Amino acid sequence: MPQSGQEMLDETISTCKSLADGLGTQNQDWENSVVEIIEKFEEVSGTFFFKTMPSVPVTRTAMRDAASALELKEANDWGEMPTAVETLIASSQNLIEKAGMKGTTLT
Amino acid sequence: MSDSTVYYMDAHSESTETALAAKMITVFDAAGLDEIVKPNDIVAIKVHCGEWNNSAYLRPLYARQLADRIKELGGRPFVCDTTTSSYSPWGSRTSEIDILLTAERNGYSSATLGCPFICADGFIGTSDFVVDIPEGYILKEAYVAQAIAAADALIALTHFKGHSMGVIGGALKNLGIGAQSKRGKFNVHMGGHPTYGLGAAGVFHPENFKGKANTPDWEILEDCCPFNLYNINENDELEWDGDKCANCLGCFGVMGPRGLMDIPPVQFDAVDAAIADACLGVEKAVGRDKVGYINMALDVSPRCDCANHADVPIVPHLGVFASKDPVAIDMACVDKAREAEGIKGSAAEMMEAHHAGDKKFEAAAATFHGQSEVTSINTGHEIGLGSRDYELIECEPDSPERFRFPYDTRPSRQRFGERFEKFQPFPYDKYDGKGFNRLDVVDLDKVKHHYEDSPEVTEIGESVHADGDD
Repeated sequence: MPQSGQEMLDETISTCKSLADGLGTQNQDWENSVVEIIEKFEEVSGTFFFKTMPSVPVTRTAMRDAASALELKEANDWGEMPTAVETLIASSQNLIEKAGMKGTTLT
Repeated sequence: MSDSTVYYMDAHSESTETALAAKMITVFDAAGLDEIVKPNDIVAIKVHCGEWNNSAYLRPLYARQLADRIKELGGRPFVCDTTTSSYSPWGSRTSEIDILLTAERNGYSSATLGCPFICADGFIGTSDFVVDIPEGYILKEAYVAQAIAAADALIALTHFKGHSMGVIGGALKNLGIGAQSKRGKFNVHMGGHPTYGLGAAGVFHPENFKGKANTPDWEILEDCCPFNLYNINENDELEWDGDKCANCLGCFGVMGPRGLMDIPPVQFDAVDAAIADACLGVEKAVGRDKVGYINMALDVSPRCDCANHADVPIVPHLGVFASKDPVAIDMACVDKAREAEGIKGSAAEMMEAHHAGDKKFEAAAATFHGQSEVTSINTGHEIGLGSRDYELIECEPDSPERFRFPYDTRPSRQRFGERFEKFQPFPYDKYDGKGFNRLDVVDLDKVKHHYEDSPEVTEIGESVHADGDD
């Protein structure tokens, strides 16, 4: 069975933790951003949205963006990191907004 | 139950006899549904008239075409839908006056249908006929909308699509939910059920209520429930009388996202099984040999027509199906959707379930992870409502003559020759008989060219200009 939204969020949080670990040695702003993302994700983790299928596409995007950034970190490819962090911030913000489920109707 | 037969035509159309409305009648006859209708029979055509601002529901044309066919057979058709549960605080079909207004806005009226459009379960949805279903998998009785139960024959004219609770919205759901009265819907939705009802299985989290002062729209927390079961007390605490919950679904979209209610996915699974039971109840109310099914698998949106919007279809039009077996016809549609490539940009692609062979409704339509697109189908098979094993018979188009404009069947000269002479629409008396003031020759290549495609465009433009032709 494919991963659920919650499983993807758990993986994203874990990836972000690995990403944040020691990132400040390169750029403190990056680490602060990723730590903030982790905090926000932990706040919304377990909520109704992540039990629903509509959580899958947006969570997967954040999960992949986090994985891409971690890959760069592990490869010491710092040139691409600013863009990767920006992309991760954007997809994380989108995910947190979607988790609010404004205007949702379940029938 | 032995194999059933499903009659089918694909969705391609290039002529009078392959118009989708024509194909619908061709499969209707091929499946023997014409034999269900006897002279003077009152025939209910059950449709989904669409929620306010939904735009994927079936065009009224199909119901009209079917009503006309039933009249040809000597029957007296009416087209109907039923009041909904109050599944959204702002639903548009919860009472008879609301559904009639919505239906009319969506094009369903006696003027368009050539027969009455009625709300089959009365003003508030309590007009029904109770049927025992001892064979039921979970339900043991069904509350069938009175006008449907009273009909001599019933054709379920279904828009086949996805559904957030049913996963698929097909023939089984058109009758298993759509032909139930409002209280019948509470029954199917597990209202008051000791295991699967929201009152029993839902987990209420009043601790997540932040108080009126921190909840600007706090009133909706009370107002989402028509049974008045939510209350913010004098201590600024949210209370819920879950024992009385009817599972109208009105609070789902309000409480769930705010973390105030944990809605159990098993409740949806139970509803999906109950849908087949309730469909059997409808067949028993009308007569098991007096119900026919047409599935129009067009505009296969991920969400049901009960949503107040319609998303990009997840697969291309699949075709037109007819059968006497609601289980087989839904299975055939699910199989066709599975075989199809998903549509680019649709929810199927967003869920990465757009490949041939993917279970697209489970990915793109279901609310919860783990819901199945065949729960209702398998339940229907289990209880003897129908068979998931079927033979699919592809029909040939009927003659074009049958589907031409019926009010005047003469060709053009006979119809318009004298009138055109009297009220000449072409001014033969002007511009040497050419009729209108126009240039004799223009450069059409210039306006056919895709200017954004290539740099050669300028050269063409320049050469035309050099020739002095523009």
